[in-house]
Amino acid sequence: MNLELTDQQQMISEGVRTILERMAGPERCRFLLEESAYDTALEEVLREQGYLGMFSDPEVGPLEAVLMVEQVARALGTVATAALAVVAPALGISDMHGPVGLSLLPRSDDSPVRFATVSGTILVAEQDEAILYGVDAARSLPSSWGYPIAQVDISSRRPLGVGSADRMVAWWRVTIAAEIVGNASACLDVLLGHLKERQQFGRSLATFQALQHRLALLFVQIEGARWLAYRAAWSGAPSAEAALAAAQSVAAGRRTVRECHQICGALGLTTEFDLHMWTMRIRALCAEAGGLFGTQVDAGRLRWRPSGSLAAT
Amino acid sequence: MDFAWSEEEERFRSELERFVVEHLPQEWDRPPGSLGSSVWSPATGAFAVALAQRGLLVPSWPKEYGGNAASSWQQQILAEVMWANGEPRGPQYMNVNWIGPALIGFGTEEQRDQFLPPMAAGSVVWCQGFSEPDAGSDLASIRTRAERDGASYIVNGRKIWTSYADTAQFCFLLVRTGTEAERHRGLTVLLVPMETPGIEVRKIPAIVGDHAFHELTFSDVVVPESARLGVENGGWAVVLRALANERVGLPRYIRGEQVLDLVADWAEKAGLLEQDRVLALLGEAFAACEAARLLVYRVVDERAKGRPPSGLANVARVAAVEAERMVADATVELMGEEGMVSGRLADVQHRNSLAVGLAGGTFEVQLNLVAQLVLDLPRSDSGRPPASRVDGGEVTA
Repeated sequence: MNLELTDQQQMISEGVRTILERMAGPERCRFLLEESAYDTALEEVLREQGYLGMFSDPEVGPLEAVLMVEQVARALGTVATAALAVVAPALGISDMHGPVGLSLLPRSDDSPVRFATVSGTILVAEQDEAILYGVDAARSLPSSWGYPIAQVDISSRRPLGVGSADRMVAWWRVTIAAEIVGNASACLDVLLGHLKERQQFGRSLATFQALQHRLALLFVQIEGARWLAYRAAWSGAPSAEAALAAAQSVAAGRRTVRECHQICGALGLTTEFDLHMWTMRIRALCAEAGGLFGTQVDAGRLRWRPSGSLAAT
Repeated sequence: MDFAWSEEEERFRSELERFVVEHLPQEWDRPPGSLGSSVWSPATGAFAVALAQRGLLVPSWPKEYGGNAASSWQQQILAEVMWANGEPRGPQYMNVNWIGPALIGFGTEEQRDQFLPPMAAGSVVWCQGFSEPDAGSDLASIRTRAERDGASYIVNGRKIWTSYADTAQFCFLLVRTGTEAERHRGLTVLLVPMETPGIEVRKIPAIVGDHAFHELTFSDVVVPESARLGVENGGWAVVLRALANERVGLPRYIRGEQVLDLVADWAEKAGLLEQDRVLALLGEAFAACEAARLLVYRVVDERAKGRPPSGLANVARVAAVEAERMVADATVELMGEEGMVSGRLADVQHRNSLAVGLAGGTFEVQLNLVAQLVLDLPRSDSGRPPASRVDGGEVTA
């Protein structure tokens, strides 16, 4: 075993970080949020530099793609990296451009889809198959959850083969785990900064044991989710591994949101303070691909009742 | 990043599993949730001896002391296989993991010659005399005194929560030789035969299964100077070194997952396993166990690479405690009244889970250390310096 980034993984990380420092971050995210816009410019740079094509590249691979997805989330990038760089390639679709929405049944014609605003496509996990839908028209909906979101009219329908729904859900869950971990890590940084800066009762909040213990617990939960996500990606996202990673990360994500907003006080509720951009995204991610209950049921089912069908499909 | 076992590691695991099948006593049916207990001493003693004969009791020790310098991953595999079988080494883990290494690090030649061979042979049981009625997490405040009397020490005081004191032949005893104001600078370690006159052992009935705690009373116990480990008033360094060796996480996740398998069996027979509620409770706890497993592996990886110990060990411990508690809660929740019958899975798992946040250093101390070592937060005003209890304790499974 080797539970550290390899030299190549570190190099990729540094490359991605350089781009994100220049092109992502809270200011950029805030601007895009106001416009309900998608970051086409960032997507293009990530593509040009090869970071969206790592999944199927024999020199790199799915784990590297997932690590990139985590980093983009941490830096508040507004690009559908999960779908573009992981889920679509896992279904044999390469070279997708623009935002791609991911969705699950049951859904109705007017169900909103994250990243569907100017979307040309959405991927839907249906009963057995994942279906790639072309989108005719998209009606953007107001939302402060950190992502462009829209209702869509569907134009074309391309089934992706028997078994593709499970594969889609598995990789989607791995990316959800990675994105939650990325967002939650950024939240912890914000929280630690706040604790060290803020003084109450004549001393730094960072010296209060009650708060230290809560942060420690949070950190441990996020780290557990991180390593489950990495292992799931490394092992090619078997449904069981993906469900475990998602179950743990959704639990960690929910706690992160609650704890960060509680400990940062009213400051954390303001739009001037950056925290909400990560926490709203985490809460959105936690509700997808089956949410907490669905991923926990599947984690249990896949170990003890592997013949049953997944809660998510 | 690579999560695969090497072929050599797989072979080592298979060899161990075969060994266990061949040597585990037939009457061995300890429930997986239970803490260690001297009730099982005849079986664990024989098993440890057999393990030693195969060179598998102290594989991590240097060759000159009977080990074969096994890798950190091999040590972890050994621990996993043992835990998967109810930890049939019984109390030997203390000798193997830290009393032996402490003797190797601080013992005189005579002490090593006297104490290490029986440990390596699996033929001796030690207990750990650290905690006192008024000194738990704040270990540096212990009061059991050792007064100099010529070439001997006269020991008076009390130790408590001592596991295996009823069967141990020796005690790894931490005493105060300096003043109380000197705190950790006034401590010394003595290696004391339990048959020494003046030592009284009292069993303390507890609710954690067949595991027993003990109180030790020392009344004018005479201990020769030659039984001192390291220098006088240098006991703290011995304790820290000893406990650093114990910091690689115990594979509690193995036990937790076994319990979940058994609960799933039970639920299946009860016709409940199809229910989403049941699967979700099991799945949640299983995810927590697997998270703990990977965080423990991070510590092993760090150690395998020769890095200095970091707060990762404390991170892993916190995760393991949380997971084991979650397993117990899921078990009780699912089994309902059926779990309240003595000896049933939920009964055993719940009662033992009450100790997991205490065994080997309290959960709160682990959280302090995560905050300080990993999150770089300052020492909190409400706690003693964290170095007062890096790890360790008396209650260990």
